[in-house]
Amino acid sequence: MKRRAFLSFAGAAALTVALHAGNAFASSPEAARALVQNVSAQVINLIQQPGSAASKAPQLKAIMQQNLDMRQVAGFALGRYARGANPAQRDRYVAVYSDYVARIYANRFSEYGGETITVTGAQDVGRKGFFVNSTVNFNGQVVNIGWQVRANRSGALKIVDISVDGLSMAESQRSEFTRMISELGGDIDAFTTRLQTLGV
Amino acid sequence: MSISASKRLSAFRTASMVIAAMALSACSGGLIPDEGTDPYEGFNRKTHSFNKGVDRAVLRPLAQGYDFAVPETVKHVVNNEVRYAQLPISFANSVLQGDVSRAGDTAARILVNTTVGGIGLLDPATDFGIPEHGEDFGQTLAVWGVPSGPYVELPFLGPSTARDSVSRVVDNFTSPLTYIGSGTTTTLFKVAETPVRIVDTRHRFRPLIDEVLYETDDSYSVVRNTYLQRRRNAILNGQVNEDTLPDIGEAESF
Repeated sequence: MKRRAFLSFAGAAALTVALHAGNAFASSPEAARALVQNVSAQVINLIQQPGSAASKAPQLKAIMQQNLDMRQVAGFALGRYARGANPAQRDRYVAVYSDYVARIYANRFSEYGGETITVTGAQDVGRKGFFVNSTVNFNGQVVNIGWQVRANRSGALKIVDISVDGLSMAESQRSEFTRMISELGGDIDAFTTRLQTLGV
Repeated sequence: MSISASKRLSAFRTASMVIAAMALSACSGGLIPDEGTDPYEGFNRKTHSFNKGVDRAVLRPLAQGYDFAVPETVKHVVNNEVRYAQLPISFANSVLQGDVSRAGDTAARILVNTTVGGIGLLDPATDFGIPEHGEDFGQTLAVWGVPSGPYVELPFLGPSTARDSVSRVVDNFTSPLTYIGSGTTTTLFKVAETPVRIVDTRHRFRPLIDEVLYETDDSYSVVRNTYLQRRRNAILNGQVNEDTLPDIGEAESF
């Protein structure tokens, strides 16, 4: 019994040290770079599995939910309309958004032809977190993919935006969403319902 | 009217229109127009429908035909040549921006592709790892601190800003194609360069352009947004900093 108590104490101590070390590492360009490397490897591995885009969407959603700050990314896309949404509307919208974004990316990735992604660097961008640069070579045409990585409220690094040759997905989506919401007279519920049917 | 006279006249019209637009908006905007500002939206949207009609009727079929009828090798060489012809413009603008490193890259690229590459037919510079930079006068003006002015969609030419429209005219003057002598081959090359470049570009970006124009429900906004973001990225040479990146999840928790 004593021995067991000691072991669990030692275990807890080791865990604390490990978490601490993890935290020191958690907010550095190197950690952001490692996150991007890990996520892109997971996604490429998923794309290379046999099966349709639709069948891969749930797994892609799981990868995204684990590594993206999904709720904040979803909120950003609502632009000026985010403020007006009540908690129930927010929850429903975030759930629908998560499916939507996994669905459209699973579709987009179905054109993947075995290209590899090379992470080329990472920089500290102050308040905005970290920015990781990478390149993908499509038949000799080099495309720059940038990843904005930021610590969430509990200090864990999460991806918040991906840009392709400077074209930010978050900004493009915000422009598209706010225009749709404004056409729907600012109705978040109507917009969420609409989002369920997009890209299906 | 001869081709070059009509071209000069239309360049003159564009220039005077644009200078007027710039005078009107001398104090608005920085690298790109501010979010949510589009003073000429009504007019721009009409031009956009017109441009879309031109694409549907002429440009898209041409690009499809080009893809179908022309062998891969020829398309490859055409693309090399199109990019090669832009290099002097890029070089001049790197110099104007005081960017010695990019000017050096582009000079090396011109040297290698002119000699080993056979006047731009091949692109050995890329194999040698010499980076390719597409600098133009619009970016130079932005670097000099000239504000973008409002967003405009130009007939036939597509998305632009007041500043970028001026740039088109000036870049014509930096291109050696404007000055090279007569003779059948050079004249043919001069006349063919612009249409060939347009078809080559439409062909290269076919999936993206098709998606944006025909599969989004407001192609005008998507074109505008995409164009402005890409211009900002080009001005900053792909560099990002605390100010350029979107503020996701910080200002207010969702």
